[in-house]
Amino acid sequence: MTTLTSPSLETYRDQIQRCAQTMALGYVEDVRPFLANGSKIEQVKLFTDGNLDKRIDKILDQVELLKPVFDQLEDLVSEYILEVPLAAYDTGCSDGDRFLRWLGLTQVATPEQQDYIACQLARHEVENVARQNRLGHVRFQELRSMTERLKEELGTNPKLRVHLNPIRTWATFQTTVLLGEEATIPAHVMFFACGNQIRTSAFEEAGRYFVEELTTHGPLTLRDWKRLDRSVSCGELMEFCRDAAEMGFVAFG
Amino acid sequence: MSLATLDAVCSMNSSRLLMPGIGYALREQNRYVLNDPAINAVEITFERADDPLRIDRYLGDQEFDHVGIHALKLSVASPDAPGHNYLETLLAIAEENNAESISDHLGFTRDAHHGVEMGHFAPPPFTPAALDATCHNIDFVQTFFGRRDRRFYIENIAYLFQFEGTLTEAEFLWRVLRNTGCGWLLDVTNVYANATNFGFDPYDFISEVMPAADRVQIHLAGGFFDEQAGMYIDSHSEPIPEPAWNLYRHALDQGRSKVDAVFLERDQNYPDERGWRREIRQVRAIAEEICSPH
Repeated sequence: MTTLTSPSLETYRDQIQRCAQTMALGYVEDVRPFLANGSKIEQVKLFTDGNLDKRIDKILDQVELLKPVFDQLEDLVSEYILEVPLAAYDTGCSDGDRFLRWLGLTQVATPEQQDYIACQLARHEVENVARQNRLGHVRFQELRSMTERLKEELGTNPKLRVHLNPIRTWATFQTTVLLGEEATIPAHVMFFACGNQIRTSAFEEAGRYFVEELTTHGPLTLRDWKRLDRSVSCGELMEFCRDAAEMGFVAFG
Repeated sequence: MSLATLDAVCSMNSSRLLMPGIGYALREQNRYVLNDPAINAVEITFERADDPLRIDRYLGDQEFDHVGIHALKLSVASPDAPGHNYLETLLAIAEENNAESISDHLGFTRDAHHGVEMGHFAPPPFTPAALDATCHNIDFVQTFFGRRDRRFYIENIAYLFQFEGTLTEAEFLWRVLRNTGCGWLLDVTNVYANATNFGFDPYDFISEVMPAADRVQIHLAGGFFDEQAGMYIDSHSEPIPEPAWNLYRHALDQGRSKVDAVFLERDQNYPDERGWRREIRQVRAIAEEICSPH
């Protein structure tokens, strides 16, 4: 990237920095010396208020899950936007993500609220992973579209490999609030992309172990997987693979 | 082929050459009318199409004669050039949807590459320093997009205030277009809004700037007059106002033979199906009236 440098451009850079940084937080007085004749500070305020209102709406959309557990959510978002400016190239849910981290630093959340925050952060993280690996997402979903047919070949086709969904992340829940009373806590939950949706799956130790093996060794045929791990039977692996394919975090190809 | 038939073919071709593509800025709310016979173009707002979980292309199976990508964060009037990742993602969406052009606004949304974002574009001060920075950034963008045959258009924005400057907006825009050779996305309603709010003649503005533009796209939208602020607000929430229709005629007349596409924008208070179809058919009817060779 090239950068322009000259005295007048440095002056210009200073002006834009002062104006943008102050307007990003809704403060306008620093802009006053730069205004043209006929332009009023109230007009700048109209501009920044409109921008901040839109930012609040966007963040509230991005942290929708928290609405039932934070009574003053809109007030908290309003406080946040006056403290933390929108970052350059804000993409997807990045502002909502920063708000959630700010919330963690500035508020004392109950364990239940923390689970909601962890859940929302994990959903954003799935989107971030998909953004960084769009090709991987599209390829896996293509594989998944053939899974219904290929799962019948699982025990008979020696070349068929088991692929783990690359668009995934983990969260740990400390309460049962999002899982139901029966759940064992702490619960390890995988969030993954399924088509254009995000799905979740809570894992017992055995399931996590299988996922870790697939993560470490990459796409595996059942035979190779069995060779790597003699402690499990082919039947157990097939059952795991079929269930996982049904849920959408494993595909065959 | 007889001479008479040849004449007819030439006439059809020249008519096609003169007639811009007509369509909507795509929103989920108008997707179902995009097969209207009046529509042969579409504009995709990049930030809407940039959904990381989407698998199919944003346009789906539909094909159009003209597809434009409209961006919001190039911030060409910032002191720094736009970031590589943003440009790459823009191009990827353009390629995926067979878009031939990419556009953004003549303003700044951020201070610097790793700085802050304001959420919307502010006008640059109309000064030589801002002109240099803007032209440098547009050159940078055009080099990037030009490698993969995408034309870049810059849109005149509606603003609520102006910074102190030494040039008029028309002079500034004229120089940007002349210095960079980029296309002009002439937002007719933005010209109308600024003329209403800052007291200049919108017809003169278009007539003054148009000669500097090699290629042109047009935006049309409707806003409202905010009595409390004493300003016309370009909210994209209302039908196109009558003065903007008249200005659109003037723009087509001034830009004859170089207007590639006309896009109608609506972001709030969405009309019913009849409303969607009526307005876009009016956009086409006026273009046919002005741009027809006969």
